[in-house]
Amino acid sequence: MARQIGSFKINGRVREAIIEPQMLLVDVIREKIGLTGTKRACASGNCGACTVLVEGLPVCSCLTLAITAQNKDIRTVEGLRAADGELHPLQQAFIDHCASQCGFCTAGMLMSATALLEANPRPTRDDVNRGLSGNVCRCTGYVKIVDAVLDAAQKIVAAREVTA
Amino acid sequence: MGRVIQPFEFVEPSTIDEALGLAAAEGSRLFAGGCELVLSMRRGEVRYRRLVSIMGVGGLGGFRAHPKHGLEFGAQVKIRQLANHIWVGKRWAALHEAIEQLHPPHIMNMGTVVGNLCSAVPYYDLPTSLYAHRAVIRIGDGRSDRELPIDDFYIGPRMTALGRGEMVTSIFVPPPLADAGSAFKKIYKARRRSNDLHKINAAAYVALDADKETIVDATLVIGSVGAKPVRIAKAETVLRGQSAGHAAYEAAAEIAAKAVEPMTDAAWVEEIRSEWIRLLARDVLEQAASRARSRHDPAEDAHLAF
Repeated sequence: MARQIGSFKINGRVREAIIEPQMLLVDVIREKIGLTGTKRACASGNCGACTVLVEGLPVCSCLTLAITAQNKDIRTVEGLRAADGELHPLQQAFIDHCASQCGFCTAGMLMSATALLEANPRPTRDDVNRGLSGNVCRCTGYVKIVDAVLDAAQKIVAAREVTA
Repeated sequence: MGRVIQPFEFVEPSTIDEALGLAAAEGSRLFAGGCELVLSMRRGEVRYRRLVSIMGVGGLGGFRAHPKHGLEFGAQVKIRQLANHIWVGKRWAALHEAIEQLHPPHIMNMGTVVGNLCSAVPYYDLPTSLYAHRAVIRIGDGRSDRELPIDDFYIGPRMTALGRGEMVTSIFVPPPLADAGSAFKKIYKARRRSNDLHKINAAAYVALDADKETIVDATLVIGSVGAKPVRIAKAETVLRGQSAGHAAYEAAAEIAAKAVEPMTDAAWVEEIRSEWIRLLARDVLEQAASRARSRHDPAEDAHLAF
């Protein structure tokens, strides 16, 4: 049925893919566009592994029809790394704090944390808990993830103060 | 488990008339944020041949929150817009609390409040809180509008009073009285068996007189206990005119626990759920009244409102 060419602005680049109305955003990102960092886990909006940022706000890409996300600014975990290959402070902090074990939730955690730190650069532990409340991790027990986000927040703020 | 959504046609009209005309056909359905719809379509619970998105329709994105004129928002307003608004948090606290506790928080960025109401899922939180605030649903068919109190909006499990060719265009929430407070609480994921209903939510609105001693108006709603939220009218009448104190709330909660027959499949669950209802009813009333008492003189807000 009604195939069409969908145009998506993912990580600042316009990508086109053949989509059908019933396709989910997560499937288009993973299978049509080939950015497999975003994971599909529960596909029912419970786990947050599929979190991507649409217009800067976290959404579950498994509950979003791809057709409704066209021409919106989408960011996935692949877009976090700087152009020169340097890891985003959040990614580096996740490595430093051993905040991922199996790694399936990590992409979603990173995107939710990115949105959190953009809205609130100096979060408290409670803020981080709230900000990540839609992301489920069954390995780490969350302590290291929250530590990593707090650490990254400090580093981002410190770096900004040095440059300013 | 159906992992694939059956094919459908997706249209994005730009006027209400066009949208309602397309949605009136058999197998068509209006579509806004799509959180509930996409999920139930993927699970294969429902199937539609055509989805009519209202997100491109003009005139449905209005949003106004004013402590004295009330809260009003159109069908396109995402939950996030209400969550971020200071007056919603200050004057419609039950609604704010229900939004804050949505899980996952992503839903705020995806779904609309009107969509949440219209999906008529019995265990959703926003309808319960809007019952407490006595919201008014504005329903349009492209030519005329009618208003319906939210109490009459749900007519059965997953069924609303919307007729064919009608849609909810906006929702109006009247402003609370000067010395009034509201609260929302829920108990969930307290599941003992997989087929138990594992959630109860409650919301209350309490208005006190100028001395903050006597209850002049109250609303008590228990949700997730049947096809739709239930207003405990008997408890509300008992509360009116009583002095604001623990005894009054305990008594009202007792009435609520007796008045509601919670949807359940086992007697022992019913007992637990009745106790939950009593506790939640007592707590939301206490919290709402405490907010009503602690509110400072509304005249002090006036300069902020204009």
